Amino acid sequence: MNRTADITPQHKTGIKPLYFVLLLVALTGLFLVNLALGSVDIPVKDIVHILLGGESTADAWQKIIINIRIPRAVTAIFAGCALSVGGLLMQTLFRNPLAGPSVLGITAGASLGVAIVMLAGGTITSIFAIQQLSAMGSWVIVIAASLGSAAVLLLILLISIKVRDNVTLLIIGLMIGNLTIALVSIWQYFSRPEQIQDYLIWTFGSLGGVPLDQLWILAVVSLIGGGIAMALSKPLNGLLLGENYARSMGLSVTGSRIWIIVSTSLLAGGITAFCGPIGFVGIAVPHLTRSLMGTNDHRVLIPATLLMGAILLLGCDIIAQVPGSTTTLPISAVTSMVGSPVVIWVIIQRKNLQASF
Amino acid sequence: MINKRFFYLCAAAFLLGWFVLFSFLGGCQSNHNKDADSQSDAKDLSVQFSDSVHADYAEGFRITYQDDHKLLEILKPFQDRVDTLRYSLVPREIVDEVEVENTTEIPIPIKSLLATSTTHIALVEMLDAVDVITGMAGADYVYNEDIRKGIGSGDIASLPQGELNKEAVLAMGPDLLMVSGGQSSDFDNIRMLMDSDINVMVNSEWLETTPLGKAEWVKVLAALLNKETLTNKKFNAVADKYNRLQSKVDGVGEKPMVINNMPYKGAWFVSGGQSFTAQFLRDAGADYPWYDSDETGGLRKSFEVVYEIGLEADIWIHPGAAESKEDVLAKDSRFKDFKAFKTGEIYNNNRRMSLSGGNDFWESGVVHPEIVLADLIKIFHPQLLPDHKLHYYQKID
Repeated sequence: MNRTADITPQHKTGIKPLYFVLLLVALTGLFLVNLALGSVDIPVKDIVHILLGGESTADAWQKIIINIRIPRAVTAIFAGCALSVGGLLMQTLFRNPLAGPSVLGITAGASLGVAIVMLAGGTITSIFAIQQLSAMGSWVIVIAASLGSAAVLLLILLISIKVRDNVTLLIIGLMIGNLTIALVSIWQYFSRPEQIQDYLIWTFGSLGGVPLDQLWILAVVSLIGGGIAMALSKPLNGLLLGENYARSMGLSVTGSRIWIIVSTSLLAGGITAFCGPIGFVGIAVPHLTRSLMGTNDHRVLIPATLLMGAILLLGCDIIAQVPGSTTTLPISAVTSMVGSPVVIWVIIQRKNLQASF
Repeated sequence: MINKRFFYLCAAAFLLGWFVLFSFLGGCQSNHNKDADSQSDAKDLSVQFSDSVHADYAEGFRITYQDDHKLLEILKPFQDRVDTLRYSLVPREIVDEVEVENTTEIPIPIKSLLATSTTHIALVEMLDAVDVITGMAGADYVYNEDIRKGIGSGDIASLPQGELNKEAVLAMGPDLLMVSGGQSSDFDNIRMLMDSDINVMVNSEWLETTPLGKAEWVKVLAALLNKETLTNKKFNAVADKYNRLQSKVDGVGEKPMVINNMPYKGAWFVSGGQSFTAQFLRDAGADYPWYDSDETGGLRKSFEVVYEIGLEADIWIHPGAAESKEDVLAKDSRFKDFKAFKTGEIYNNNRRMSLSGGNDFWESGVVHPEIVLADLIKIFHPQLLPDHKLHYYQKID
């Protein structure tokens, strides 16, 4: 008899496949709306024409769709998926509804990497500036962010072998995050105003900065992270019942914990490297998904969270583009502004939040 | 329980994997420059360029004239970096036949320019070619009347300040997008636009450390607009006047001690000794505490260091956005101890402002350093220019 099946409340079975279909429809719909709206008005029939590989009536429209809107929409999907699943993993690992993908200091590590490059006298950035303009794209920033988050990850992993207790690990993670942020502040304090501005713009997050030829890396990283998460469904269900219980079921808690951290780091670190820090999605989406699906079973939650995260970020991106105007808003601000009220509402509706943890 | 040693190995392998992946990907990005090995055909394509411009003061660009194109090299596009961006400026009528290796090709004369800095406006304004501007990023900071009218009527596309709106740029499809280097956060956008066949030129006039060097970037626009003759005439007049004014100061004995700028949160950024502002102060015959530093940008000083000097300094220039003594005191009441405050010798460069915050000092002032210099000489040594009326500067009362 499968013990995990006992302990996962199965409300509303039978509706779930329908929900998944609805989520998929919503995702496809939003994807198309995202392509259709932007600063420049492009008639829908031209967009369809371009998507089907035809020639557009205006050359600029074709470039806008192919070079700008498609990469941005696809980036939004990957970022939404990755951050949401990362958040779900952390919430389950720490049994804490406030945890998110950045809770272990992994995103702060990425920010530190970027700050070092952007603020360290500016020399490193400018050495690469030329290649960047011609061909390098933003590789320097991406590599710096990846190394930064990888360094923090390594530290956390070492600590997680030594420390058996998740609450201790959570506090250590938060402190490491604070330390890196403090380092960044000191660096900013001694930097030129224009460098600070540069770094500040990076911290707003951006979905539009990933060109087509870099997208596949984002995809590979997200898929590996997401794949590990899917494979962890059963241990995650076990962890919800407490570590001792999970051990008694024959789960290797330390092993699962390490894989959870690796997966989250890949997801959060990869996205932060390419898009900058995008807040909120990772904390909010797991709550929304739980309340929609009415279950704690990760075999359902993980795929649903993936879809939900992509939908939320696509929706936020549409708002951030302020369709029809040449103004755009920073994505991180929009995710928080749109998402916070939704989460407050959901949590008040549910009343028994603690029951999920 | 997991075997520790095995785990360390895994973690190390994981990190190494990431690193290798990224370095590899970083290394094998292809170069987008045209690798055309076909030299222009033997057809007789030589165009007679009527006149030529050359940089005498500016260190950031070089223009050379070939038979069928002008080669424009931006020698120092970004801070701390000596590397060159190369552009071939090819007459429109032969643009299909000419291909120059390792350059970005720009058909000339350009007919539409998307400007992203008020400096760019000043450069075309000096050449009586304001019509070429079809788009402007950061419209609020514009002082020029014609440009503001054009933005108001919709003839000139207005893009918001901040991150470039790529869609709007593509929809506009300008002949040339002029950007100021140095903002690495904009590299992605610029690269995406270049991939979409928008000609992007980096204008790094802001890295010049001399006023005449900065103004001389008008010659880059001259090459793009085929206005070499007019430019030489106008720029030479500016340079002559500047040099004449500067030589007036040579004989003065007493040089007033000057401090500049306004502190923010306990930090006081003053101009470095090799900066553009310090050069103006030297040429206008001022004494300045930080001439010896070799910083070309701002120098960070603590409040008390500058405060101590400020107590004795004769003249205080550029006190932030202040327009009155009350504004100065509102920033920090300790300024009332400054000698310059007591004697009323505080001057700011904001006499010519548009309602939305555009300051002509950063616009036409860029191409008229001789007027800025005259203002400063009038402030430091009024007896040398008795008839000069302050143009960009005003006394703060």
